[in-house]
Amino acid sequence: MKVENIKAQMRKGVLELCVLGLLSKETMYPSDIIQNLKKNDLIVVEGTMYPLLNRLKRDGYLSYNWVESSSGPPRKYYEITPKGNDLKEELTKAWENLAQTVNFSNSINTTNNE
Amino acid sequence: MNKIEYINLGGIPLAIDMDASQRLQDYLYELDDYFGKSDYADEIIRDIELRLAELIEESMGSRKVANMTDIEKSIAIMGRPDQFEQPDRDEPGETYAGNKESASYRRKLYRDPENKVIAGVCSGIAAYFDIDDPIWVRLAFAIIFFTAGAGVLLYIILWIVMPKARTSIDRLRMKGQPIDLENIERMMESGIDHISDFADKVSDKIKRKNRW
Repeated sequence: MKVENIKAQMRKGVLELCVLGLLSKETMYPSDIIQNLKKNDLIVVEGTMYPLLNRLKRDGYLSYNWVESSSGPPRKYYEITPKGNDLKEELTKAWENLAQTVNFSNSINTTNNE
Repeated sequence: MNKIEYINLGGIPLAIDMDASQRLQDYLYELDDYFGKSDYADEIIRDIELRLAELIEESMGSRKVANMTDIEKSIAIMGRPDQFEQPDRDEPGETYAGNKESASYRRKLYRDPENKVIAGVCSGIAAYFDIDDPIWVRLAFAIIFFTAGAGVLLYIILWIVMPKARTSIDRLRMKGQPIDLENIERMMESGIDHISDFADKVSDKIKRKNRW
């Protein structure tokens, strides 16, 4: 249970970066974003995504367009804004630093153990 | 035989079994409570409703009417609010967490039949203002009564005006606690509902007897 909590915390931290990363390649419909993240075990339930997208949009990192769909009501397609791109750059750097530090300190521990 | 209902979920029309519709309604209330009241909360819920409708349609396949299984399956995919992995945001004013305490779990003034001396007016007021012990409110009423004499009238008016906290949800609102399944379950387990209903019946009987 505790382990699951730690993992959940880790996922929470990188979720924004992953969404920005996905949307920097193409505009996407929430369900596509969700499918992508679910496939990679980044989210457990879909409900996580909607408040997050809404918050990123409110803060000006994302915007969306209504696109007519052949089946059912029009859909929101999200795209990244210039401000969102800046955030993505910054978060990517932070992530790389973090990943390096974490991997480095773990490798030191293993050599010490030997 | 099962009655069906026609609903409009996020702009998609659906035919749905009555019991399944009730389950869906409860879930949407849960979301309402979680997100609180604001323009963006409405927007999020609209988005979720649309997605739910898609999930339900997917689960229905070629069937014409959505049943309980379709609803349960869709809700499981969407997840309960306590499963939404929200990053901890501690900037005040902006967060849902902030809303939770102020907007969405607005307190309501109820009479508290659990801790009553006469009708639970004082303990209800104490719960509303988060006063630990209703004795202080009672004392204030007693002072108003002895000094000005209007205390009794005031008490009777409040008795009439304040609704009694009948259900678990009323009791949570009275104390300003979040209305989620966990809290309701806790209250059910402690059997407060049944006991309070029973106590009310008894007290109503006594009241009636006294009147005549």
